[in-house]
Amino acid sequence: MMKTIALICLLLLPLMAAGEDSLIPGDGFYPDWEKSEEVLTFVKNDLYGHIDGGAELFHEFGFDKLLVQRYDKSGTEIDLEVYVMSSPESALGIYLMKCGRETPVEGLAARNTGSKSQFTIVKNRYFVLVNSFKSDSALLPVMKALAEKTLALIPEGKPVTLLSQLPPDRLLVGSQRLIRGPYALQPIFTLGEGDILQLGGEIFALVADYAGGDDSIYTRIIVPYPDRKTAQAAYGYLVDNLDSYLTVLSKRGSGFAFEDYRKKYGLVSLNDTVLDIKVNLSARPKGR
Amino acid sequence: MINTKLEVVDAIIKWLEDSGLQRKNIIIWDRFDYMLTDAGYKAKRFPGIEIVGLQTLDEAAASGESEDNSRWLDENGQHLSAGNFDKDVYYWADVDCPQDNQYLNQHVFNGKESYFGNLVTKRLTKIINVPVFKNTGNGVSMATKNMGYGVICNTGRLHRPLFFDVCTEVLAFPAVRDKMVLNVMDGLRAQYDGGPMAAANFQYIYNTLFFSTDPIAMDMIGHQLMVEKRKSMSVNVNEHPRFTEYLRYAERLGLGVADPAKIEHVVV
Repeated sequence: MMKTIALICLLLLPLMAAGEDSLIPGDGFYPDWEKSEEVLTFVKNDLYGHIDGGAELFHEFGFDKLLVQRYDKSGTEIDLEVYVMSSPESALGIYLMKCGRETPVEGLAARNTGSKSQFTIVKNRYFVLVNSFKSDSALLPVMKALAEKTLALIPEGKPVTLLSQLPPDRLLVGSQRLIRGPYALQPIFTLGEGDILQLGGEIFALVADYAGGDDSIYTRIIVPYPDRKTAQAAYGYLVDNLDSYLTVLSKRGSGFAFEDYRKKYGLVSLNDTVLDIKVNLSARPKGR
Repeated sequence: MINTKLEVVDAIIKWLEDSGLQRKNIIIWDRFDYMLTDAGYKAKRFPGIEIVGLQTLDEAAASGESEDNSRWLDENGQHLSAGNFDKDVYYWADVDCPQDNQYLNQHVFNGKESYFGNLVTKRLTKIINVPVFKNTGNGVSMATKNMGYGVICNTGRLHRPLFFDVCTEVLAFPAVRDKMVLNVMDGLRAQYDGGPMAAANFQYIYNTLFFSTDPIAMDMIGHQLMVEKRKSMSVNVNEHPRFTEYLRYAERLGLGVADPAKIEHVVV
């Protein structure tokens, strides 16, 4: 049995390696366009060598490897970055953090947003960027061809269903995000220092903006913990380490209301294994 | 890349020359030599001006493309740029860093000292800081970050635990504090999200230049304008005071003015 396992592993390793190399389209993906240098590979912490100050977010979501390939035609360059993330959820998480307001490129067979300077794409566990440094509309067909060739090399993955746990009523389309730790939470809201929601780089929380009753917008963070014990521990940690700029107004059972530094309000409640947090509320929650 | 436009530097050089400074006494510098080259700062483009990168970095070795370390490591296992840093002037932080070649290649040293470049401590007499208008997460990567992370080495270890502290405390060293006389921020093409790395989708033509003798005031005004821009583009904005606390800390250290009520922002 051990021999069988060892043999399977040995057979799989070269296949996996070949799979990643083959994510990079070769010369001629578009007439006269060729690779201008060898593919650059950044594994795990090497990413800090490619990104000056933004690598932490990739690591938090689960980063395995980055492949960078530059292409050239008569001195004009575009480049391809393929981030191999640890799961489709990780890839979607980083995509949602990076995509901004989505303007999809017509015809690309994956979720994407694009402009003449950059295409941002997610498929399976791969987060893909196609960059054009000239930001020239004339290069759009070249960028699209490179994106199409790359997507054709990426296998289909299982659909990510995490976001379906967000209540759909009054949800603002395009506002959904995933978070897996403090770096992704940072632009949303500050509840406390460090991994305040105790996600541990393992648990995904879901975020979206919702229309309030008075034309206001509030943000909802939903954390589905794997079991009640973990959820209660995380809630306790949040209560004990709540940001000092937040003032607790009332506590009731497994929940509390607070006022923030801008005189806006928040509401936290733990329901079985799910922590439900509403922030940026324009009015104090009723009865709290 | 999102870098300071060559034309902005052209204008500064012309102004310096018109004021009587000779070209041979002007140096264009940055931390990494390859970034200067990639951005177009080459001797042919700026004749008579010295162009200096505090350190070199072998991208091929850093990415694993090449196993040849001879382009950045000498026979004694020292980074080729080690001599470019002043062992007597350093930012010390009790933060460890990876003890591998990739880190050493990029950061020159891997101890707890982040040394200042000799250029800054020994050669330069005045510094004009020329950052770009861009974000870094919820914060900004403008005057203080450009200088705080530009004059020292071994910074990779500092990003996570001390990001904003470095922006403030490095500017408190006499080598910067006493020499940096002007900040000119390039907002011709700006970036409101995705920073500090270049993110072309979030870049926009802003056609604005900022001038200040005070890097702290410049960053505070820049931060406020960045928040406005991010909101207008429907980007998540967290306005927690922690993202500007380093500026108030700088004010307490006497490095500048962070209180918006005390800053005069003149739009011409």
